[in-house]
Amino acid sequence: MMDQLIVKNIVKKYRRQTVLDNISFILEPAKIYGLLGRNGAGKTTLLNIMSNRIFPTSGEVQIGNEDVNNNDDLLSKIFLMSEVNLYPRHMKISQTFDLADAAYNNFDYDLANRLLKVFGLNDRMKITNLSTGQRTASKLIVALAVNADYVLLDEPILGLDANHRDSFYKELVKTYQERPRTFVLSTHLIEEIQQLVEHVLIMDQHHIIINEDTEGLLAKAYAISGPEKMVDEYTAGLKVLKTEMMGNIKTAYLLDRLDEQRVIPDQVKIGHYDLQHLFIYLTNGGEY
Amino acid sequence: MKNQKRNLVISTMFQQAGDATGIALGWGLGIVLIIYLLELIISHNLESFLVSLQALPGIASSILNILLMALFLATPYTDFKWAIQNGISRKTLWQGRILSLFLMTLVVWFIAQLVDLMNTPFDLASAWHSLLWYFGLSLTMMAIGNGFALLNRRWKWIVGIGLPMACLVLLMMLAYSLVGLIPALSASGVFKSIIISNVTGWVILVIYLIIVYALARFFNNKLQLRRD
Repeated sequence: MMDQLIVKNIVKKYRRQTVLDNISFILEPAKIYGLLGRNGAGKTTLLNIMSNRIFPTSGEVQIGNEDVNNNDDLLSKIFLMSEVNLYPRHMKISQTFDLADAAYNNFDYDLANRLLKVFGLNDRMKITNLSTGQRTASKLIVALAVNADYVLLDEPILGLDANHRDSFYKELVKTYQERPRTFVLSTHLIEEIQQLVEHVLIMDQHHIIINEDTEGLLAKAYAISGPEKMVDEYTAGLKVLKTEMMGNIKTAYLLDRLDEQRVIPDQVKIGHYDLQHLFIYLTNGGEY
Repeated sequence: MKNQKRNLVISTMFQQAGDATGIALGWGLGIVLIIYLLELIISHNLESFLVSLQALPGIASSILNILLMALFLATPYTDFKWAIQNGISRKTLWQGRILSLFLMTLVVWFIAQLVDLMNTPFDLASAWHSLLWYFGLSLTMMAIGNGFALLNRRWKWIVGIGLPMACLVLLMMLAYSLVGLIPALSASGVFKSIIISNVTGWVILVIYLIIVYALARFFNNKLQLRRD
């Protein structure tokens, strides 16, 4: 049975600059997470700390109450596919498969070979000779076929064309259904992953500001529009992230629960908005 | 799992070393051979050419020595990157690398001894001393390589130039201060016996090896992804 991965009070400072400020959350087994944040929010640093690539200034990452730092058994449960290439320049794609098999055991060669065809790659190709998209694809193949309980994907679709991105999403769901494990997707293409992620972590200003199930979060994302006065009256006391005016019509974007006793005026319309807009309103310098 | 990962580190290091040896020997011996052939073409002296060929094993052995040092000087960060990508801890990486260093040094030393046997008879004391020399040198290279792996490009330049200069200045200052103390020290019987004693060299060597080993390990445990 898989244990939870616990991120506990992580602080990371580079000299005087704080990149991560007391970050804590738990990754549940067999769940797909979205890790969202603007450029420089600290997503990559966080993923690097979770996979023991860099040390936190303070705090720790645990699996089953044990620190992952210097623990080979626990590190074998975590795989990070990152934007940077950590394989030696001369290495061939097939050698990255063999390394993952030797280090994590039971690498799924059948899946890897099938994905090579899907992404139009040959396992004799050298990593250094690949284009950005091909390099991403080769790393994705390892990430999807590796035998790890926690697969962290940092910018997994960097440089991939629309066809290959679609293939990746389909293959991710397929492999997740065949062998449920935890995936963390860190990407800026929020619209594309909205349907995939079950839980959302949003980072802003070096903190986690949202840590909720996607469904529950989007259920609170209301767009209220109508005459300005009525919208203002209706949204009084609620958490309004942003307002827009178009002529006399005002739209207020909320992140709050609407209680049933709140009477909806006739001219006011209530709808929902998507994760990407929620992310923008939350991280656009507002005070959430 | 830990043993499996340690073996993976060792086998990957040997594979890298094997590839590097093939390339280095190919180039090194190839260039030397071309020079010998050019000499033969110019001088038409076959006897001299055949004598020159006898130097090839010695050259190959020297290339292996240099390669061994270069390998542990240049590869720590590269090895750390692929290892951490594959969930290998710093502790296991250290064990794999130090075992590789031990085994590779033995192999290179053994080849050097075989080459020496072609010219001189076997001498146990000299063989033993050269083995210690090999270990001391490769461990020193590993410590320097691990230390440099912690630094970004800018600090590599600063430390790479500054540290040898600082050491040189310190050594010169030490030498100057000792010159002033020579009359007093030479009068001391205890100091004389320390200098003359065979044990002194061994003690200094052991202390040096312990310090270099500890530094290499300390730097290894501090390895992390750099931002450069």
